[in-house]
Amino acid sequence: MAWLSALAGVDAWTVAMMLVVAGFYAGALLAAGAVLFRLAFPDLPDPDRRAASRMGAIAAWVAIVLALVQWPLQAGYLGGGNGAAAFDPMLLGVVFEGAQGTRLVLAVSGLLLVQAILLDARRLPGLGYGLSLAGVLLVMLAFVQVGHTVDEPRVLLGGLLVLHLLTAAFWVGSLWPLYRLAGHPPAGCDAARILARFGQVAAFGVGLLVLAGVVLAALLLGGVTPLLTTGYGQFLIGKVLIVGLLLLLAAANKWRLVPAFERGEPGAPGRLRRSIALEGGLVGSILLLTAVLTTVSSPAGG
Amino acid sequence: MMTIGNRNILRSALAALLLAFASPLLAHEGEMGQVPEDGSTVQGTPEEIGIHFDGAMRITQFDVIGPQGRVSLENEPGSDPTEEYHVRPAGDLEPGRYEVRWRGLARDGHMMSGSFRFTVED
Repeated sequence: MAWLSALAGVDAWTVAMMLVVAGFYAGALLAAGAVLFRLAFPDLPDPDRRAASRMGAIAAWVAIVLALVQWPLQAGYLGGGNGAAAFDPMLLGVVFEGAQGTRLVLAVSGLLLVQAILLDARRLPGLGYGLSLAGVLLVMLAFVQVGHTVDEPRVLLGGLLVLHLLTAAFWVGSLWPLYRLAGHPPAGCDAARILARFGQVAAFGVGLLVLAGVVLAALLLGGVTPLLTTGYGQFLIGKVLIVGLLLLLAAANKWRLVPAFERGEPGAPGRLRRSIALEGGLVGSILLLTAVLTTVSSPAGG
Repeated sequence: MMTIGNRNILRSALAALLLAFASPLLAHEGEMGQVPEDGSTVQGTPEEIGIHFDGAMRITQFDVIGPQGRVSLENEPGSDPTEEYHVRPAGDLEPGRYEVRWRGLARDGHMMSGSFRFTVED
């Protein structure tokens, strides 16, 4: 199996890189997702709005730290996977001068701007949203600096990746606020109405997420055969299978658990929260698999 | 409920979508060849050891390991972007199996690595 041989030469240094990359993906998507979720649901009750903002800000700091940790890890990898190479000024320079350096600067700047999500939306209504959205845009631009989306047609490939990431961020960023809403329906707030509306917005978003992902994969792989024969293709199949499970859960939430929650059925909030938590676990495994896929394989080389 | 007809339409649309984009895009720089060739046997010390790529690559590690351990190299080009990376052994190579391990940074930011082997005979 091509995916096994792709993993065969993986050393401890590469494993550390993959874990840090997965953590960075999670932090950056959670931070961007928190901004998008707040924009999509401006009528969230105060405690939930503050919780979503806090989650976004904390996730952004985690992503900043991990982006900075990636730098010496990459330099160390280029020098053969050792601690001395990680702090070799020449190797650090090689990483920073290239596409990875551009990504680092864009990601850190964007994630710092995302902190504006903490500004009081009532006192400074436009400023918080404006700055944090600009931050999201920079984070998205950071993602298209590295990898196969820099090839031609760059605008199409980059655009598809940004669309894929924006919708993924919205989904990932909504899990914690929805988990809260499902557990503590706040007085005077129609939690069920927000959960139901999320189902409508998400159905559209998931369609875009899958469509952008499929077209991007088809463009990068160039056909069905590499999907089956290359390590990259096989990792991608694994990712799609987990996404399939995630979609089943999301469908169960939309058509069974949220309606039960709306009807006030006993036990419904607990079941909905467990389902959302499971979605979170699946998202974690998708991000880990994506980190493996982008670190040890490529659409060209398998 | 999705009917069989709908399912067929969906499958056809997906197949058409994949076929429409069925020309592979240029990917980042890949390893094109090695000197000496991977798996080859050479008589005596090779004049040069190297790799070439189909695009500029910044080579950051290039080690030749033989029966006596790491081989001293000269004429190392450094880590500037290059499509051809060649070095010369500083002395004669003992007969035996040699492995070249390299790492580098592609133009698109991908970190790449590879290895190849050759055998030196008297």
